[in-house]
Amino acid sequence: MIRLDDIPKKSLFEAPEGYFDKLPERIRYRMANPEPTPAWGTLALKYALPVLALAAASIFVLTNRGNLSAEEIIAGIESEQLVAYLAETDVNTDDLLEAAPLDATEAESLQLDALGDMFLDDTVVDAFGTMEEFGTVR
Amino acid sequence: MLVRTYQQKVYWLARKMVIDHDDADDVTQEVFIKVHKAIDSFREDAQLYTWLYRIATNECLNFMKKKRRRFFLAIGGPEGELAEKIEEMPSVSGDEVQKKLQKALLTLPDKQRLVFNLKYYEDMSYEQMAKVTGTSEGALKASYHHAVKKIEEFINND
Repeated sequence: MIRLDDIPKKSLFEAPEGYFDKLPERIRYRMANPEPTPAWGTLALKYALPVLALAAASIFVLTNRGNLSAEEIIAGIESEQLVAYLAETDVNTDDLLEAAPLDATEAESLQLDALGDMFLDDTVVDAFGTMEEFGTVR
Repeated sequence: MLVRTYQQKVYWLARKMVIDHDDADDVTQEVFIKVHKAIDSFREDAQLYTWLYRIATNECLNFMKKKRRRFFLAIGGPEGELAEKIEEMPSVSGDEVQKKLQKALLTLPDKQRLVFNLKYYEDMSYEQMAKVTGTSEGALKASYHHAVKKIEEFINND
């Protein structure tokens, strides 16, 4: 069995020749010539359009189907549209998990490998003991 | 002066995370630009090195997050693309164990891989790492030891 300590520690990456000689000047240039911030119109296209599309779809569904819950409205939107919207926003998995009203059963059913993507809090380590006690972890 | 002093540390930290030189170059430049913009808010009671490293680690993680979003609709994540880049690197040619190690690292979640790199390659103390990452030493130790276990399983089962 190969252990990590058996493997020689080496850096496999190489930087191009002269890279570090030129880098300070390149950074100095960028600081002196900052990129122009996008005009409001461009920002509106990038962020507001998906929101408007979602709002328009919601209004359409509301006016055509009567009183609907948020879940019913979302259920009426194509999955591809939701995925495209989420891809354009800064919402990440942690944000979604935080907002999701999971009960104890639903929380348990989530794969424990999700924990691998978070730093473990001392309280979690203390509560669950050694790593072997975790289930399938990625 | 700050760039000359810390450029290599920042670059190699980024390179180990993002693998590709051009991406590491982008991350490195962004780090120093942010450092330059935020230098007025730097609290001198904190070590400059720790503060700069915190910016660098956040930038690496943000870069990986953006990269994952681009792969959102594709099957699998960016690991496949990064594994191919490792396969093509001349420095791993013929060194199967090193190749496996690098591929094993790609299977770790980004934060865990970062912790591993800081500990294994930079020999950073957990105390220092806790200041850089804002995470408890206990959690970092657990994360690192779990990473080692996963890497060894990958290398021996691959």
